[in-house]
Amino acid sequence: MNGALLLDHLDPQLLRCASIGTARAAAPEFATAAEDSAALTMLLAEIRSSAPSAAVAVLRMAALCHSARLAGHQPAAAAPPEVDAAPAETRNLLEPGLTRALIQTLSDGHTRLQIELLAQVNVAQRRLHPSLLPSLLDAGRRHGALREAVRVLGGERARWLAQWNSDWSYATGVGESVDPEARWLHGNLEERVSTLRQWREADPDAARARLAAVLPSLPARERAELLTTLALHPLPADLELLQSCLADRSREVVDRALSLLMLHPDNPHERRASARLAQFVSSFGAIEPPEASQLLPDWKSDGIELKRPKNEALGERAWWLYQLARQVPPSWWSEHWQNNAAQVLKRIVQSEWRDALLRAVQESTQASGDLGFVEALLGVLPPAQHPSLLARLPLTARERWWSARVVKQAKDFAALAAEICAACAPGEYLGADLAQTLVQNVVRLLSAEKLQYQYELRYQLPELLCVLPLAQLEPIAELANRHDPEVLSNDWWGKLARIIEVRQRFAELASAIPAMPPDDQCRVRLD
Amino acid sequence: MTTTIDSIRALAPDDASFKAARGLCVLRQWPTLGRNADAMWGECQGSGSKPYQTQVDLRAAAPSFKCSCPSRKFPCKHGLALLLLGVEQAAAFGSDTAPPWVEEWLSARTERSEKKVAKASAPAAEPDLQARAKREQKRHQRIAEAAIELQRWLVDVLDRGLGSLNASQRGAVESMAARMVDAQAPGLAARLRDLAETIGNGEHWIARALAQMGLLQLTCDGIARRDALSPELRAELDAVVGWSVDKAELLSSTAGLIDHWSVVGQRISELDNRLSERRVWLYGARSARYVYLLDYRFAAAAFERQYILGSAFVGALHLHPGSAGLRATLGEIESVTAAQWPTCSLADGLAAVAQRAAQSPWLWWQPLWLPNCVLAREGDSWTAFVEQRSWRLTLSEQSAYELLACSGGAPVHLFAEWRGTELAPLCAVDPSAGPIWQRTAGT
Repeated sequence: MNGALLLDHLDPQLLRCASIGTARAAAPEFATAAEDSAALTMLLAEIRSSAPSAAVAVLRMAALCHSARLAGHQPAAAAPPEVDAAPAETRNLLEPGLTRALIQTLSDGHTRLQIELLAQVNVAQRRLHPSLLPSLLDAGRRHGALREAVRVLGGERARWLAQWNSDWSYATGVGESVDPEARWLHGNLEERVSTLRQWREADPDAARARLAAVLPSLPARERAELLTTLALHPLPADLELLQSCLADRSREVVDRALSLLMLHPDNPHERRASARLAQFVSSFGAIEPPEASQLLPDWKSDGIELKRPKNEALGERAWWLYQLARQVPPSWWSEHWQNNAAQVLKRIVQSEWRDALLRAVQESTQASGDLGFVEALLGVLPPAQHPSLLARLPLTARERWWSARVVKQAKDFAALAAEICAACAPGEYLGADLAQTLVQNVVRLLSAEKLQYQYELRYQLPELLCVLPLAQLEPIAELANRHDPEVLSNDWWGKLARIIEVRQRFAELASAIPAMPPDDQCRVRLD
Repeated sequence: MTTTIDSIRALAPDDASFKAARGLCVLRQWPTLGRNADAMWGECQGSGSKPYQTQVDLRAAAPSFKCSCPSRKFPCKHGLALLLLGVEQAAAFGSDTAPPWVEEWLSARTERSEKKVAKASAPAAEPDLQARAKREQKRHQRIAEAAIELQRWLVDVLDRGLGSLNASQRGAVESMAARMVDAQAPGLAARLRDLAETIGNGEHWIARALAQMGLLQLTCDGIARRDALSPELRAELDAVVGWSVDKAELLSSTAGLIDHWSVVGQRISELDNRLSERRVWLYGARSARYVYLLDYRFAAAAFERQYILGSAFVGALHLHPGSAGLRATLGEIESVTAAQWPTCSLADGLAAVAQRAAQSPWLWWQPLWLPNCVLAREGDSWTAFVEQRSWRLTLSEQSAYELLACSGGAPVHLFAEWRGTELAPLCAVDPSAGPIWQRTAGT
């Protein structure tokens, strides 16, 4: 037995003794020794015989084994995994100062601000230092809206790194450099959607044929995501595929297909849906939802679920009515009842089927983007449901809506700010007039006393700053810089000042691309 | 003086101060900013009518701070922010003529420093050697008694079995560590706290705890036989127990080892009571040896000197007595130069580890250079592959991903601390581009 083998033999015995306790197990014994481990064996034997107790013997043996192992350590033989190194990058690194500002924003900034900064970095054709990629990939994991930017800015290194963590699988794939055919065959879901979009732009028929060919073999989520490409330049030729998707086994796919059908006015499905609904809603306003005996099996092929889901809040008849009603565009109601949108909604609200019909009209309005109904619904639905509807309106229409609602009270202003933030997509900024009005109000409210008690306003303002155009923010920056950062908890004034400054710095980066920075990012000489 | 963001971060008393300083890097908040070769200064606008006056003395190797703010932290966030602005927005610093409040402070500092030098050069009072020997004897006695107690405790724990221990019983180990502090054996206390951390922590913790307890037993044995040990082993044992060496005496009584010393890694660990310990590893290119400098900081204070990974100097280090020859104290620096990274093979590194293990049985962490490693994640653990052999890394998840990202799958050199079962990487070096990653404090 050589030294290494002896240690391997001894270790389990020592561990057994140590685990169960030397009060119950004696120190290990060694009878013989080969020549090359004789010294070690003799020492162990001497330790055993001379130690005043089993515990001391085990402790001394453990120390000897540790030293012997350290002196003759041979790590386990193993071949490295067969993973290629990350390909070389083509972009320059982001400047150190901006990098640090970005790290801070990624760790505690609003998603909207993160998206803005990442977009500016992208415009400036920069990439992030590799040590930041784990944080960047984590930010993308937390916020789906960041993922596209993460993929672009992380470059080849982030894609390479993502393979080591299943939480970052969204960032894996084949990358931008490979040809579209390979991206379609081997890319991740986002890459396949983007490739299909490109094909749809160039040749819609071929793109649709590819989509139809792969749909049956894909999981539900992927079927639903790939279907969204049909929203790009809707064509009559899409109808057949969409109609077939109404019979899909996944509710998500059926819902997506119904939304997409709304983009095709007067299509056969819509005509069938209109005729079906007209059986239960008279042109005089009487509403009589279907009975079980009136349900027809062929409704299923139009995406109507005859069995009410267990967790559905609506009753059985209301559930069927809701499904029938959501398949017609909102304009159907105006035509059917000869009323404008506001009048239609008034009748619906007054009816006993209010919940089912409001829900149906809201969904069909969302899908079709009927502006008349969007505005009418805003007057009927509770404020919490406004943002998703407002998002369907053009910015000018939204600004009209908000301009009429700018309020003086801090609490109401906070609610308005929340609605603005929720209804503006990342990268969307308010026009100068509304922004100026809002800034004036913000300055007035911030200058008022007892700001420390206006929790909602303080919570909402940092994000509102990210929706306002940078040029309008000067008065708020001046105000923020006049205050001691520690007056309010969590350095609130400092946070406002930082948001404005960081937006300015990244806007400058994107507008004037500076010289290439050194890869050694941290070294800067003071003298 | 070279100031980097990393060196400023190292000066910060805590992460919160550094973060707050980052928040103050807004030019609008600094109506006045100036600098010259000796100092940087600025006025930071707070909520009051009068801005805070912040100044940094740049004349020494480490910057000194003064600020009129009421913060109890030192340096305060304003001082750190001023340095950060100096690095990131140097162009914003206007005047090079220091205002009176800066001049005043600089003159006062110069005066104090001159007085200090004068005092140091004055003939020192004769030390009372007899009283010192008596004090040392008393301390040895206390340590010997504590070692007996520790040994009894080790036996007691082992008799009951390590399997009966769990994380909730770490308190008992901490109590024994406190007892060692009382007995003026801080080194033993540190190893006991290390043991407390091991209990119930990770895979194979019993094996690791047993090795740690074995080394404690060996230390107790050494203390019992101290008089019979060679002078080198005795010195090594004293160092393990926690006897500190008088640095001034060391510098005056030993010849410095002059070499081209490169900073190859550092490890900062938080000890008890907000005390942080830092080991800075240096590699001597001429002597092909590693040494470490050890220093401490308490809570809000910064380490006295900053060591930047990849920086180097030609100068003298004074080795502490002991058989391992790893610990040193900084002597005179002759010149600052570029780093020269180790070139030894893995076999050479392991041979040196064996040599040191043979010389000093109590050694805990040893330096190890692993050339051309390929890093990978295997299951839940992190592995470095070197010469067709695998090494498991001891590293937090976040740091490990950062290291992996920096390597990009290409071979890198790793400098690490090794203690038989754990390999803790401290820095990674790209063979063609220099250092690409370093371990951060507490990871």
